[in-house]
Amino acid sequence: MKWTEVRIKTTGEAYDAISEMLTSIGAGGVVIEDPKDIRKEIEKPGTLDYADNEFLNSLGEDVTVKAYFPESFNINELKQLIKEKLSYISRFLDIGKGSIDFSELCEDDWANAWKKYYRPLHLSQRLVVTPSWEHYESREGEIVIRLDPGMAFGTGTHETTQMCAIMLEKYTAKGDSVIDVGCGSGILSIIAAKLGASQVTAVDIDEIAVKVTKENLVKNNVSGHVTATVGVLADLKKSKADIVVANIIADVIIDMVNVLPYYLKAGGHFIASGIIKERAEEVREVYCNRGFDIVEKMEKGEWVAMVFRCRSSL
Amino acid sequence: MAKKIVGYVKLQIPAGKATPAPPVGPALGQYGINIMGFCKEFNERTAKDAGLVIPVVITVYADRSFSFITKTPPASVLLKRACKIESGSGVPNREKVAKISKDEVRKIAEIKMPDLNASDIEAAMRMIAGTARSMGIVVED
Repeated sequence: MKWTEVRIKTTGEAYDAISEMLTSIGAGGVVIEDPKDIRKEIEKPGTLDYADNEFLNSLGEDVTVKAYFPESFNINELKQLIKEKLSYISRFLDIGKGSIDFSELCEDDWANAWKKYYRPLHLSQRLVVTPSWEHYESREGEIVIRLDPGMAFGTGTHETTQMCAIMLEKYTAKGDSVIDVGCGSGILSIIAAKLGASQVTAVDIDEIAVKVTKENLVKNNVSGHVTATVGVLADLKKSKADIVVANIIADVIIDMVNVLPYYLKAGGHFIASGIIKERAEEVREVYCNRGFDIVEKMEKGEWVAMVFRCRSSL
Repeated sequence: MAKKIVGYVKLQIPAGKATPAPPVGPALGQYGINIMGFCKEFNERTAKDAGLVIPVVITVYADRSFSFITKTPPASVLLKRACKIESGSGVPNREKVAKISKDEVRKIAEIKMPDLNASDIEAAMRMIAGTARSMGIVVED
């Protein structure tokens, strides 16, 4: 089966009328690309999300409306009809460029095509993340984490996740207690449990992340050792963990400095990542001035991970 | 985690009925995100409005995880609801299917305002009124 893709370049004023027109003649929905939407999103106060300028600039200024018609539509009639209807809309709304492009699109196995991006991935010599549909033959001593990418951060492909995994592998001892702050998909909690931690607490402010974590705990048979709850570190009952890991963002890591000694035992380790290179020195300074020693620092791409030792507990 | 956005897509699709067929498949496929995962979650969250066209914004992050939020219904859907009609006119230049007052146009503009990139309420009203006229709805003064 083939599809006809129609792309109309227009404005923020006319896209809704154009979408309605395309739906009314048989499109099963539309795609709208409005570069102003994402700019508005990342300028929102309090958002942790960001985008590269290069990416933002690549979006241009026009709003593009895309629609798809199955091959049962006669393409010439379709072209004529859309042209007429667009011209009518332009009597009432500023349609901007109003250019119409048609192209042919072959049917793809969309439900499964995305899976080609995911293969078993080695985070370290021992740690392997594999999607559930792959049969992975593990070698002796390997620790396999089963994880399907979805609606929570932490698929294992990001540098910060990889560095935290490597540090956990290095510092986690059998029987340790671990707290995972900003657990996302739960990947780091699962790794900690599989490395022998007997008690892991995962926490995230995002309800969806906690839901996804719980599902992943079951898939990896570690739900007996890990509990996941919605909230921030300070919401947890005070405890004396051996390790706290937080893969978040420099500002949040800095904010945690006063609370951490209530949750770490003296000599316990804090693994911090999600820190962009430019902020690493600032994070190090804050921690070293408030009762922590830096043990290790690692860099990957534009990201830094650091391990601190807590001098005394509260 | 400080999440780097690598894709940002808005779809207008019927609530509760997303499938990997176009437009969802081609729009999201290029980012390598879990399409069935999206469809399942979207259908679950929008089941109560099944069939109603609803805008949904999907944000794709650097590690191919994603999130989505649904927005206020499109202007055209709100117009149809206000006019109690199933669809716009097939031949809007000749056949008018309904009338709408300026007050109602303003109300719809106010509902849509947070999701529009319009500079002020007058601009939003112009957009709503223009959309109405293009569908064969007469806007009364």
